[in-house]
Amino acid sequence: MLRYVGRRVAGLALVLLIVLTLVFFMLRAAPGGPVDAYLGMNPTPEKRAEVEHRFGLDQPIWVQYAKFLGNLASGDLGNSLFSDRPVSAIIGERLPVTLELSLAAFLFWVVVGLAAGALAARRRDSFVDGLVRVGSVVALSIPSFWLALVLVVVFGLYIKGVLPSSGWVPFTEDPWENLRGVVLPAFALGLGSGAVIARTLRASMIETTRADYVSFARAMGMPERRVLRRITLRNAIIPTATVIGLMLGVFVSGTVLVENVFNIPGIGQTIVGAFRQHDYPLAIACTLITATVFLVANLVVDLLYFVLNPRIRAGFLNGTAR
Amino acid sequence: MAPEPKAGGAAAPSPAGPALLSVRDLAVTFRTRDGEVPAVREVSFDLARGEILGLVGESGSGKSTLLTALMRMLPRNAGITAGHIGFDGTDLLALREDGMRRLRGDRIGLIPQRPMTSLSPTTSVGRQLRWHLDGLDEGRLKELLGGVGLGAVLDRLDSYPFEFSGGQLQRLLIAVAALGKQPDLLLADEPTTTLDATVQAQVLRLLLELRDRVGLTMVFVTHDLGVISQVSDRIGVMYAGRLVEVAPARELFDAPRHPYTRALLEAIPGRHRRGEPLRSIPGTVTGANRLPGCPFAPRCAAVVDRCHEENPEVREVGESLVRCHRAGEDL
Ligand SMILES: Nc1ncnc2c1ncn2[C@@H]1O[C@H](COP(=O)(O)OP(=O)(O)O)[C@@H](O)[C@H]1O
Ligand SMILES: [Mg+2]
Repeated sequence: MLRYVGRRVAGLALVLLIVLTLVFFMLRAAPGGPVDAYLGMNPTPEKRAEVEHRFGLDQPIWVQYAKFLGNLASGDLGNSLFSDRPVSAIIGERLPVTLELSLAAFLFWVVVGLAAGALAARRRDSFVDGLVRVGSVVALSIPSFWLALVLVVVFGLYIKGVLPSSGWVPFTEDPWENLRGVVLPAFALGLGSGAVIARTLRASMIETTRADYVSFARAMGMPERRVLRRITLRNAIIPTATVIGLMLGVFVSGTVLVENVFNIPGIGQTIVGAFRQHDYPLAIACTLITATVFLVANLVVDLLYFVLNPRIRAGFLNGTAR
Repeated sequence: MAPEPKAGGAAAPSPAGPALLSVRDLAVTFRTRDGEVPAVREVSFDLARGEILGLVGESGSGKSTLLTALMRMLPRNAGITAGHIGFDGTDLLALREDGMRRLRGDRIGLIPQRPMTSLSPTTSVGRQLRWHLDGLDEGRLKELLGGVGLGAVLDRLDSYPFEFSGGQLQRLLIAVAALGKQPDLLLADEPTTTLDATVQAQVLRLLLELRDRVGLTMVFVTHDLGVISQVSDRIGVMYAGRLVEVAPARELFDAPRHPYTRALLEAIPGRHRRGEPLRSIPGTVTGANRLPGCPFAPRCAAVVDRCHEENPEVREVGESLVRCHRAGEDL
């Protein structure tokens, strides 16, 4: 088990390195550069050379890359080219915002998705089931940025004052306002994922209901509620957990769109600005942090899967599975 | 033997005592994409306490469906469309679901057909045994597992179902559903098909012993005539959803009345005369339950015109009940 986690963490570090290298070269290959962004139109050649030197861009790209790796290894992500503040400080401010938003959306939509899926499966072909089925198809076909725009317009123009539709109040400043502010963006961020979770759980519960082991438990006189809790849910949750894991990516990447629409100062908003301005250190740091969150979340889900599924667990313990 | 009035003209009265189970004109239909498929039709039989009824018939003849209907656990796309099931004085079809649930396990037990998939894969076997048997202590557990020759797995009960063999699981299921619960009526759906010969003999002995000890009543489904001859008091032969012949075990083997029963017996290796090629029954059962007339007519060696038009009523010939127009004739 520990060896498995160790191997996964090593793999994770390798993936991060590859991603960062790709971003490093892609940023430099892209047309334009930080100097243009920094100096605006038609700078003098002398001024150009000076800024290029200041940013370290006058050196050969391999030297720049070697320096970058060296700094990375020592934990130094550098300063933002524009604000000249340490990138780690900027990330430190913005990451909690994105994490709070993602986590709120994730928790809310996992709970709602699971509850809706279980209810629909339990009352199959009833009105509730129909509602969940139709509702989830509709939810799936709504792009999150469109939903976000609609929410901003509706809550910003028509029903003002109910829920804030733009900006961000830190939790430490005003917890209540902070939580009110999370509601709309979190709703927009996870609606589609919630629908997928509900549909997956519903389908896998219905599938499980037909299993021989459910029939046998019922034939032994086990009450339906107990069958549901001990057997149907327990088995149907395994494929659903996999899907929830896949959805984590959506919760992380979705913040780029949602934060920009709701004007929330998180990583998603920062990353867009950093790439637009060719702020190399900040862009790299945002990439690093997003990828790490995503990969770690996936690792956690894999470990959860391992806990839920005794077959895989046993395979590890006696060494038949890798 | 008290001659009972034959409801629907189709009863197979049990030879001894009052009936524990009484089935009359039972019909089960599946709703499929191609329309309604009758899987069980006009099935009637009685079963006395302590009696073992063997049910034979080829795959798809409706044996499992019949057992599932007796438990009232048919899948959503199936329904009981006619008939009556009496169990120990209760009309099972009139019972509410909750009342029926209370009978399941404790009074009517089922040994399922596929042991490998009949225990939940995500919970340890020991815990599942405890789910089904309240207040199971170490001594009782030892007794139950020892009873099915599984004493060796006592210290492996925190393992999961996939870590056991099919034979071990089948014996575990028998230990729970038959020995543990000791129901009045046990429905066993091919309980020995997954077992090798020695274990099979052991399990059969065990079930017979249980009958002698606690008066277990049983419907024992199989497609193995060799097994069924060892355990059954009476044997019912199913074909295309119909019970075509019911007779005491000895009678059925010595004097099969229905052409299908005869064909089945002749198909057993070892029973046919030396030098004669092994016979199989020509044709297939496919579509037989949609035709008018006798379902076996298309494959029957003794078929006459009438067989294609009219489904035969049950006739009593000797100790046998037979659904054949030519029953009793010397064929
Ligand atoms: N789930 C189902 N859906 C539709 N038809 C079914 C289903 N299960 C069984 N049947 C029908 O019922 C008939 C009897 O099946 P079954 O009771 O399983 O036979 P047996 O146990 O004798 O092999 C089959 O021929 C098939 O046509
Ligand atoms: Mg069957």
